[in-house]
Amino acid sequence: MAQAGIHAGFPSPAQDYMDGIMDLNKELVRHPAATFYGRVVGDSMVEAGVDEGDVLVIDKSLEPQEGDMAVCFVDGEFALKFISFKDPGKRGSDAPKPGVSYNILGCKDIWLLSGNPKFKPIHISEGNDFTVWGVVTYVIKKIK
Amino acid sequence: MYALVDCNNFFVSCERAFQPQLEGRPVVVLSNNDGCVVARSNESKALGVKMGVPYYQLRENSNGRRVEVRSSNYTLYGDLSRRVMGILREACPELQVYSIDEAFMVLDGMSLDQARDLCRSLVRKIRRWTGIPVSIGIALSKTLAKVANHFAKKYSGYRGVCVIDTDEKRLRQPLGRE
Repeated sequence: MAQAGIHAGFPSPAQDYMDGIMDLNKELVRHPAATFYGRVVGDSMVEAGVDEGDVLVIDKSLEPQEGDMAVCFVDGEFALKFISFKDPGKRGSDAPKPGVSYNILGCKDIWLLSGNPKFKPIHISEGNDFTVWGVVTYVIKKIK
Repeated sequence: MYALVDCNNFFVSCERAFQPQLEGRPVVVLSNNDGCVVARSNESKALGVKMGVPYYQLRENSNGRRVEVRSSNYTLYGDLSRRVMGILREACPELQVYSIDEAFMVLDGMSLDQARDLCRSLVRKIRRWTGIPVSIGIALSKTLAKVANHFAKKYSGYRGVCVIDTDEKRLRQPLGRE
């Protein structure tokens, strides 16, 4: 990894050997046995900067937390959503803060939010057919 | 002490890991060229689908037509197997991989209760991390561990892990007899 980021000048050819060449597998994958890759289909996350064709790094070992982007399985289909334990219709409640982890089974109400205003929030409660398949940790975008 | 870890209906479970709508439904996986059935879900077994039955016979049978059929995907099965074995090897460095979906763990320096607790947490971890359900049998010999594994797989009351530590348990439910 080039020291201190990439500036506009030409880095020293020796920098690659200073602390080892960056390996994307080590950089992006925390739990190899639980990490899978998926390609985004559709535009449900465009306002979150996730576009069709992007590659997702998905970690099945992580407990979903408030605000996490997750691959969900809802009503027989995969969907890419933000997980929330707060009712988006209510304001300023004493609801959980971002980063707080909840055991999905213990939390009775979950909202699935989209990164595109054309999709309304989906309310999941005990009667619904829903699982979190995995939590998205990285999005890899093709620039060129 | 040995623990035999065996994935449940492995090829079917691999398909279900990426197609959760197949959970709870009768599913079979076919051999190369869609020749015959090489894996069945418990629901398919309950419908009377036999192991190795040629696919054309399955199609001709009314029960067989209710079954979800998948062609084999050995690249997927090999990948998921590597993941399961990796999780097991981290808990037990002397892991002995026996087949694509089975491995023996050599567990020394712990009590049977500790072994049971470890294996229960491994069942949960593997299910969570890979989507694959496994059964684990624990005993003092590999043969008995295999017997214990059969009980663990067959009876849901064991919650995935069965320990054989007494003669009474060993003699209960003889396989294939009476």
